[in-house]
Amino acid sequence: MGTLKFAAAMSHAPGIAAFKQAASPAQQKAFFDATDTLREAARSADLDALVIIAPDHFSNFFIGNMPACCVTLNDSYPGPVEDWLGMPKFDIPGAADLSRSILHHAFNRGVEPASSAHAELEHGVMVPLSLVTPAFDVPVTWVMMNCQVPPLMSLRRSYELGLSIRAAIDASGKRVGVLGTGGLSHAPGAPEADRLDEAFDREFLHMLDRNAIEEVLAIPDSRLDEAGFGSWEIRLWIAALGVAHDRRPRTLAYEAVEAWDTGCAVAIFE
Amino acid sequence: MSLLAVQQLMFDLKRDKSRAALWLSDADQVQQDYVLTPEEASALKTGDLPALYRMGVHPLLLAPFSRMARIPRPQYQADLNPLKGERPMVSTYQLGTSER
Repeated sequence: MGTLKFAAAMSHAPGIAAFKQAASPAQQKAFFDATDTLREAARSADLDALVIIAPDHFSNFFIGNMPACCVTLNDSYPGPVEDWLGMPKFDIPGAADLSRSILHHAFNRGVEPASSAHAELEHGVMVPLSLVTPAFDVPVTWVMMNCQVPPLMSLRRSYELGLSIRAAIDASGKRVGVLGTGGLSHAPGAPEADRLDEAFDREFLHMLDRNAIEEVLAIPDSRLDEAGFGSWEIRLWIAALGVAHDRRPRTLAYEAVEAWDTGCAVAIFE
Repeated sequence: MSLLAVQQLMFDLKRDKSRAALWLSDADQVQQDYVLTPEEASALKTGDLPALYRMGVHPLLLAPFSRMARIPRPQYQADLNPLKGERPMVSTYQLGTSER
């Protein structure tokens, strides 16, 4: 039987890599100290594979093909697609067997993700990997969730997707980690991009720290809209919570980083 | 309305570097592949960010389009700043339809 050896969630703002220095020294320290904790936890876990649950920002999917969620099946992933991210382009090994198993288990549990073997990675995956598995040597499965173009999966359905990913991990015979990436409050590219919703972010994290999952799943769309459309990405956190349903989340850091246009959080599920 | 065509063009420019290079030298030629209203074609060609946003362009397409069009980030923010609250992104947003 496989085991879940690492579980966490974090923000993935491109500014974390592309204009890191724009954030204050105190904000950088708080955020990167927390990602250092994730990196050490992932290293100690000696992972065979890492499931990263992240959205797509119109790099792979558009209206001609916009799945609610998609399990990518690459043997290796090229990335990042963004020239301006400040990272070299290279290939990251894929955990294709695990990807196929996730697809199988999801269908068996009544969740039907799309699949693609031709995914290219963007900042939503590359920025977190650069901080958590910086050697990029742990084979990855990217599970994409559409968090940009409604209709979106409900929060409860996102959690159920996570449960099905966990079933595949348990059956894998591997040491597996999961990392959900996205949010919290932000509105990238919109006129309101400089308006973060610290109250929403702290309320969300407080729910996590109390392990109040039912409260999280009951957050209405209207509250997410108020926090900026980037907060739709809490679905990635919620899917990771589903994977790690037998662990407790603990917030490691939160900073409302205006310079990165994002309420940036890091949490580990223990 | 051909909002979808506007967004399709932006998506294609983001994905296709050769098309983006052609856009910078001959935007009219690129636009021939898309059914656009004169207003849409003009807004795209001139990089009229407020007009494009008011049409309903998704911010995650508008921002990469501005980078491709070499519009500096401070100008992007200054252009959009007066539109705060005018068209918030909400959970009923749609990319557009092919109906004209």
